[in-house]
Amino acid sequence: MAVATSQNRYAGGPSPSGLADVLDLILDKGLVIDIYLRVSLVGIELLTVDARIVVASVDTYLRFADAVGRLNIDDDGKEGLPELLEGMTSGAAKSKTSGALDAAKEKIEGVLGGGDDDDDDDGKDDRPRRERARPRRAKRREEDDR
Amino acid sequence: MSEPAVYVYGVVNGSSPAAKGAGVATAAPVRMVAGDGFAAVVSDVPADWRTGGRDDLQAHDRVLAALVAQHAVVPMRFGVVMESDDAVRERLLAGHAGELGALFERLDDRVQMSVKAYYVGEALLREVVRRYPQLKRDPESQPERIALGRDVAAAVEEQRALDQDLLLTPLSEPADDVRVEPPAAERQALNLQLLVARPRRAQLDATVTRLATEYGDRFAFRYVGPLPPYSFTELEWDS
Repeated sequence: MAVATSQNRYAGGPSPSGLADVLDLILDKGLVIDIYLRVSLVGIELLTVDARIVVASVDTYLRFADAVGRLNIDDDGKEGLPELLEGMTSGAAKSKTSGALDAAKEKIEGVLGGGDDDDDDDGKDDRPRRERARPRRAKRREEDDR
Repeated sequence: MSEPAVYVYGVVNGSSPAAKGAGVATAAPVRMVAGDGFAAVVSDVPADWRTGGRDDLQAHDRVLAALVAQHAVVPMRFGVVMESDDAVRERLLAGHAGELGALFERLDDRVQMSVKAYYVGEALLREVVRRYPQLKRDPESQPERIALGRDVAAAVEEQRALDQDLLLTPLSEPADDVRVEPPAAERQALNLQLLVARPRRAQLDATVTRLATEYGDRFAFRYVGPLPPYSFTELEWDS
């Protein structure tokens, strides 16, 4: 399914929105009143945090280094950086080098594509979303920096 | 069986539009709760409802997309539930009448349009290496590989900032307000949300067409709209 992909080329006028186009807006923008009244959205909130991280990590650096290396080798060739620049939209190969963004995308697909299994709400967590998001974000960074 | 609660999609100016369709959760019919000057678009949900599936997100999007096609609407973020119609009337419509009035003044006859640009193929890295030939070096050890990658990453971010500026200036021209969101993917050059008066949409269409032609070898564009003005109603109100 087409989550966060970019394969739709521009074709002369605006397209009607798909869910993928508005997902981050629906979840993160718009008016909020009585934030404590928001329904519990555990799985969804986490994915928006994860999807936003364009990671600065050793893993990313190694991918970039390899990608530039390949670019140098076939400088005039047509082949380039499949993992780096296309892997995250193809959804095909789960290459080891494709990194954190693929993981985030898989998570999005898990939530959006899944049926009932996407509800990992334990029913007791009604705190505002931002409170929950922060610790996880911090934890993610620590892991990435190792 | 618990008392029903009220899921809120958004607020419209006046009470004119007849809301229709099926809502989130149990697909209860979408209806209006009219207040003084404003009306909320709502549907009933079970009070103990806990969500988050694809169907609910789509229902939220569908209801608001139908509204924005015809009317000015202040969209709520996904997941706002209030306990009753009275609460909607008192705490949302009456309690925030001043803020809502100001918002509608800003949003009147305007819609949100979204323009995302993605680097085509390896355009980004080729550009970066052209600007910084020293990146064409052959690392001989793991620390050197990491150092090279760090330099590439820095150059990539610099290039992205340049490209954002390049595209932002012409795209912003027809807009009353813009939000540049952080890239959500490595290959994303620009994630731009625009608040555009309906009569100026044709001008934005033409600008996107021109950019897509002029820079087609570097960027693929994803141009979407009209959307409810989510990005321009990002407020959190206490009741």
